[in-house]
Amino acid sequence: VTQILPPAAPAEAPAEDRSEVVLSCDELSTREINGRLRELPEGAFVRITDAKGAHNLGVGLRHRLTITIEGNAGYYTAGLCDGPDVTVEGSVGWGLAENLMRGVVRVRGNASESAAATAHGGTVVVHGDASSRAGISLKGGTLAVAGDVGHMSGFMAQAGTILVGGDAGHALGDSLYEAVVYVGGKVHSLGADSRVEDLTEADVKRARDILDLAGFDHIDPQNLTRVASAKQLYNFDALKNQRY
Amino acid sequence: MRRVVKEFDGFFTLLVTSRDEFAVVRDAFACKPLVVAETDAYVAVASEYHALATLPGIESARVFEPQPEDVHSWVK
Repeated sequence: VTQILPPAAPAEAPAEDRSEVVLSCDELSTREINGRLRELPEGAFVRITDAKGAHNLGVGLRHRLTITIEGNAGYYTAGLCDGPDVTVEGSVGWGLAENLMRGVVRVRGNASESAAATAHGGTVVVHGDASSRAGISLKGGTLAVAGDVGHMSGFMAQAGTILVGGDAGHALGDSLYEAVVYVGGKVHSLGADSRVEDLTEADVKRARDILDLAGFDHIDPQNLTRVASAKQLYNFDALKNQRY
Repeated sequence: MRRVVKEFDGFFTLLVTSRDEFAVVRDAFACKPLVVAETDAYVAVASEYHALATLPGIESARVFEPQPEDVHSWVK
């Protein structure tokens, strides 16, 4: 699933009326970079260079920034954020956009495990593949993956939407709550208490909106598999009766 | 290596070497990280890409995370 480091898409040229603040990971520590990001005014444009897989870039930001990270980033990129628009031109490690509240986090390459874990809001877009446990414990955010996702994706997802353009690995949607998963390709296997349901017109509209937002044009919103909770393990009385 | 995967309990990533070859495998849950960089000149493994990022030729290497229980091996 996870060949990482595909050729990075060329970055959009900055418009003339916006100037970018450039922060180099060769010159600044991660702590210093995140400190500089917090001090920038609302609406600033930032380019982070020389990432070389550095962890924790762009975490804990609560204002509107447009951040571009050149190359590959490491673990927990854009984690715990509430507002910024982050684009990684390469691939990322574990825990992309963990617990996102608002904003858009976009990865041109692939994402390792647990992308968009526990995201309450906002949108996470992965143009390549995402590895295992994508969207684990999702709480209302949206995760769109152009390619495949690994095993146990959507595990215990409580609210929000996961859209997968390619194939989903084993145990998809294990112990789902109210989140819904759409898959364009093959589902290798369903997890406990998840099931395939009919695709409704509302689903097609929801998927189309996500595809438009993500910029994916290779997925037919009318030809998706909808996976949701069968709700047999949904309440604690199941636990009481030892039916799990 | 495949028998080891069935026998071992718990979370692990294993790297096993001999004089001329080595192999890696992850448990069924793949909770422990593993990144492989493969080129014509070398194969490098690490728990994070950051450790591989400055290797020569890394830009054109095949970099991947092995799937759970997939055994990858290389001979010198």
